[in-house]
Amino acid sequence: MKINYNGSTIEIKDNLTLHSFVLELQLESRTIAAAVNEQIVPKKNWEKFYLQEGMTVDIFNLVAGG
Amino acid sequence: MTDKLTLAGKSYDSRLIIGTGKYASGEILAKACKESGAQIATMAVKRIDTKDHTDEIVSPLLDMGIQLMPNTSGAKNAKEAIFAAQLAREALEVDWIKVEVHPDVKYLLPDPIETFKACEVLCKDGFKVFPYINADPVLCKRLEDIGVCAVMPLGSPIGSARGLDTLSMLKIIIRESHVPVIIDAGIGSPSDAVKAFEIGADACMVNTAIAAAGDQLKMARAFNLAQEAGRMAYKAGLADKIETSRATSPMEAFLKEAMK
Repeated sequence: MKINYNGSTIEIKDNLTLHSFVLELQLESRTIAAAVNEQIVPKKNWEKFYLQEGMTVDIFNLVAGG
Repeated sequence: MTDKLTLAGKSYDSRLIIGTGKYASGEILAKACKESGAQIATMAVKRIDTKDHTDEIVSPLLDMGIQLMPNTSGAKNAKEAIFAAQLAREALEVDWIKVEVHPDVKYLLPDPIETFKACEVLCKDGFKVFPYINADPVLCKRLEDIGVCAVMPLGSPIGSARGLDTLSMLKIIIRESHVPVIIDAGIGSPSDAVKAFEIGADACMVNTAIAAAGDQLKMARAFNLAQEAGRMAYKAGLADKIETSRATSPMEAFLKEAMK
């Protein structure tokens, strides 16, 4: 199925949780946060949050910047 | 009694806060942070670059035990700043937030109205709020009234290295404030930092002056010494400036005696 991830449309497998999606991206989870359809999804809910067709997923990181 | 900096109920030995932008690598940033003695660092919240996953530089700071102060730079209005703050809290489980709202891309001057609106919401939501603002004494008192942890008035525009252009207003802010005053933006040299502390600032934030220096680690060390010297001078009590003069030796009496 297709989702929008950080501004790009990508194909992902069905029944993927947000947690699994982040793992597949090999992201450092200590410093990231995720929003789906502009709503922040708490990290404690990632394992139970299933991605659906057409969702907009944005993952944010803490980066250099004064 | 030790002279520690107290922010949001926590105490720190250093009165220097560093910004993390413009460093070539996380490794250099960590070394500069160590040389500066800073115990607090600010960083931005951004969407991950899907093509490059090497954005991550915060982990070295976390490993050093640095207090993280995420900021909302890039936010153009209160709504975006609030969202950025909530993302940062979710990402780091830290409730400190430096509110930066500067829609003006030429001077990067902070929008006072959107900043105030964001701070009102975030203070009620339990954040420890540190607003970055122009050196406006009235705005500082209004922010104090809504419960911010400190105020962060600018010395001069971000990255300009022009020092304390706003000196006279900063002095008023410091004199009247009941919350810590952190002079932020435009600090271009260690002597600017010394000046900031000499006038009574509680802390100072520095980014470009270290990150863009020829020798970043040496400059970080210079700022470390500057914050110590400036604060010490303030606590020692500077001599008043006067319009005339004060003789420091009895020259006149000596000459009169010799000519008799």
